[in-house]
Amino acid sequence: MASAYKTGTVGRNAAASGFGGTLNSGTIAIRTGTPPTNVGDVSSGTLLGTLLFGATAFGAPSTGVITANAITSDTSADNSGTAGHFRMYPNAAADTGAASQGNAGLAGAAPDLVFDNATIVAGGTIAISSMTITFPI
Amino acid sequence: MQKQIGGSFAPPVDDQKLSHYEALMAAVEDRQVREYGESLLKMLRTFRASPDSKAKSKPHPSGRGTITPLEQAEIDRIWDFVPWPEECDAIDVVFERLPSGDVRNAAYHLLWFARELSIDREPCTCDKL
Repeated sequence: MASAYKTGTVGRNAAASGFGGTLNSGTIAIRTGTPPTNVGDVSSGTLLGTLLFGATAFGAPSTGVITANAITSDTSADNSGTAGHFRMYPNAAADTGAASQGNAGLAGAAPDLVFDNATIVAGGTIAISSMTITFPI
Repeated sequence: MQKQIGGSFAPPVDDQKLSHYEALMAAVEDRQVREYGESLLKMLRTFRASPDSKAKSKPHPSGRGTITPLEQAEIDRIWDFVPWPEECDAIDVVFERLPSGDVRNAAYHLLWFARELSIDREPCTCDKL
């Protein structure tokens, strides 16, 4: 018998709100290379820079969707290289304890985080537009 | 997760920095790195010889900075010096071999300018934000 389990708006909003709250004052680490297989795996690649979520990272959920409040740019990137993936943390970027991860790169590769220029230069600025996450049905 | 838009804005360069990069690249033993580095330096010296584009700008989708297209005359002038995007990908593979430090920073700084010019736009360095 095929599964008929679904999550409704109430459940999705609860999940979204909980996840978003986890990232209050959290960080987004931009790193080189492909992401680790699992979110729980040790970080890989070189840390290029770290951006900051606000004290309230996301606004209130709506039909399972949360949108980030302003994300503070990294105005002095740590290292030079090509953005390959990112990880989001409840606090400072670290080797473990990430809440989620995704790939990064140029638009042609259809990554989760699109850069029109994925080359990061030490001392430069890394910025991310408002982030939107959807919790599925 | 929907697609998010990121922006990378490198530090500016001046003649002193370019001279420093030239000295760094001339001393690199890896011939591929040296040749790519010297080629990108030539690109940047050529590009810097003309004033900034006066074409109409639009906001960068990352929420910081602007995108200013190069004027056609400038595109034509620097055409032979700017690598194609696919060539930038190949250069990236070579530069990725470099350990952290001055040479890697110089190499990727030059590659950043190449990426900007390869999509026919005025490089938006972080001092312009």
